[in-house]
Amino acid sequence: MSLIIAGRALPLVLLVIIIAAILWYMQQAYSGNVPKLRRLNAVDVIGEILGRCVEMGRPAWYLMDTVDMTTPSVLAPTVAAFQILSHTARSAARLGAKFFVPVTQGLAYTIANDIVEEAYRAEGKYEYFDPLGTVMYLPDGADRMYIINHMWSDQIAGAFFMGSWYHKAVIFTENAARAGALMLGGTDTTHNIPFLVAICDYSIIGEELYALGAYVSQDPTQSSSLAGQDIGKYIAMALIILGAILATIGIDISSIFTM
Amino acid sequence: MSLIKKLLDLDQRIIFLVLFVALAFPILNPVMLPMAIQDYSIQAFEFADSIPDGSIVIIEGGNTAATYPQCGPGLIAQIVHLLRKDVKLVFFSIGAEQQVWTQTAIDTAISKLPAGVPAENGVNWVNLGYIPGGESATAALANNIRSVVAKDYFGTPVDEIPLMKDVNDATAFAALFWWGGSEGSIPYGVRQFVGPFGIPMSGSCTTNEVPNYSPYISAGQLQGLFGGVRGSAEYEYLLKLPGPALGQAMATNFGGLWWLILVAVGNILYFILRTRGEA
Amino acid sequence: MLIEFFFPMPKAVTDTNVTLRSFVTIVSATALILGIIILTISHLRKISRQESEWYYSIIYIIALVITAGLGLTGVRNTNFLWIYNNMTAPIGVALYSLTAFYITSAAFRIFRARNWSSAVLLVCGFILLMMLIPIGAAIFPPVVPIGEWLRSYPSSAGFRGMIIGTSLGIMGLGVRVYTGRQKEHMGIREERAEVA
Repeated sequence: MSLIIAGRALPLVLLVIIIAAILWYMQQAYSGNVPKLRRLNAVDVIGEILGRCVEMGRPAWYLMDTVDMTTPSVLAPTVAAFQILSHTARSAARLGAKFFVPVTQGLAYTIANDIVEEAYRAEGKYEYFDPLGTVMYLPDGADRMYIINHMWSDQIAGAFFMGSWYHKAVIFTENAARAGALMLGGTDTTHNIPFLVAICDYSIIGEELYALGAYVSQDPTQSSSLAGQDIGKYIAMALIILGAILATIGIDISSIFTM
Repeated sequence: MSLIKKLLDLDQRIIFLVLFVALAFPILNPVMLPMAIQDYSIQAFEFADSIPDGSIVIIEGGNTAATYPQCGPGLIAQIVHLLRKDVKLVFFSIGAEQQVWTQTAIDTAISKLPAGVPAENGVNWVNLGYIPGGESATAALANNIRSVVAKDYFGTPVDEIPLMKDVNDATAFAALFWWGGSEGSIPYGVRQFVGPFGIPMSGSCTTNEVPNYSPYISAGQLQGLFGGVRGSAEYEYLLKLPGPALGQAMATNFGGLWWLILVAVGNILYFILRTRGEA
Repeated sequence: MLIEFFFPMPKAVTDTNVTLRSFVTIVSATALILGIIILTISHLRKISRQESEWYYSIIYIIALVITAGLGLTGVRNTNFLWIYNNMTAPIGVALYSLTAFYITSAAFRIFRARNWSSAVLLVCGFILLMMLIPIGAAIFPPVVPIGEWLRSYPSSAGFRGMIIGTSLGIMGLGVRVYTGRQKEHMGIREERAEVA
């Protein structure tokens, strides 16, 4: 019996290298060597949207679409969306913006509720938090009509679309745009990224969703992990260029991937 | 406000109403218009056609109530296609609702089979039902079916099903067909069956997901793909088995034309405003 | 489970992982029940306070009692299946179809050649839709090879980049969660200096 399952040696090596790079940068941050990171514009956009809502006296909504935390492909962007929710809720409480978070799964509802409640408590604004109203559970399916109708009736001025978005992305973003909201959208679901980019006023694409979560955490060890991810990108670029050259000159390296 | 600005700010209800008429009319009054077959669909059809008669294949049925109208007819056509070649079918689903629609597709396909084509449960096909766990369940299924499945959809123990006698992992299958609807789960099959075991794979998804999987087709990991209602209609057309998808595909002609008209007119009006300096 | 993906494991380990995976089903069911309880409390509160449109909450309670009651007698109960096939499924399909209407409305508003990048987006979107509608090839045949080239090369390249980036982002998130540095998603927020 081989030591490693056939076809998985190269992925294992790459995984170890990338995780080692991430851990190394995090360790460097512990020691005070924080890498210089490009500032994500979305950090300022969150404040801009909430500020607009406060000035106009209209609510800001934070939507996450699919939050089925038992599905691995949905769990990761949902966790990232929760992290951004923590920062956004805190900012909304501090600025005094009306904040609303509809959630379509019971488990995610309890987590979102805890996050938003903690944010309001931390800002000393707990009296503005409604346990069943600020974060609301809406069954998947029924949420569509509720959100479409109430976006209009509540005249929302700002909206955040974060997490794992599927076909509802177009429905909600277009509806929010027509209702006059300023929007920030971000998902890692590749086939819905174009919709959010096209319709939302501001957008974060794919990996930036995770990066934004780390950035707004204000924890240098979290944000320095982004530098470790960049090592993975450099490796990917090198492999792509090398593979393209080898394929062009006719060298077949597919056997490496079946090791 | 000038007329052009009013038109550019058109109430979406008018857009919705015209679209509704454009989609409903050809469904109520069927219209057959010329249809070119996409290369992804031809590739997927030829792949299914190339499966040796008598082989065993595994099919993931991932349609829900929302996606069954567009992808369901294609799945029905696939089942008919394969059963006519005496290919044995093993179905599974990674969603609870999806298993119900998979069985609906199987029942409908069997009703469309020509006389004399065998389609006995447990002999020619078996529905293993819902297997929870998403990709990890797919991985477990590929390595050891009996580790995740004890009974089929109807409650029959797997060991009592004749078709499953010598079938316990991915190596028993000649191909994988992933009818994932809008699950976004086709990469599960690529990662757990194609990569580790080299099992060739094809499938279907909703129209908006097709660009997402074109890298896999270019890389040879997917042998074509049926995309949405157009893909289902093309499968029915290639199989010479007219069904509901063909009618719906004709409806998409008119809906698509309305979309194109809106975009073209919107841009023309926008350019007029720009030349006037009002945009 | 991560180690099981790369290394052959003894049966005891794989059996444990199978058991762990079955927990997913239990957690999913628990989440569903939790959601029903939360929603019912919310609607009961609405009825008791007679908030706006509280009468719809009564319809919810009646629908819940009937459907859950029939479901508890067995999921193959004829009446339960009738409700699913004739009400739940068509409503689900109808709501899903909203996407088509909103995409059309969004396209009219967004696909305008305001600058070079939006002009490129417009032209590519136009070609691809012409290719996708069955009659498009009959109206203007060159859209098929051009559209297929756009889909197979530039679009695939862009998607590949996004897939790679997203995968790396997930790895980074995983490391942060597993090392315990990221706790905000559990409602635990440590006080730190404001982001500069």
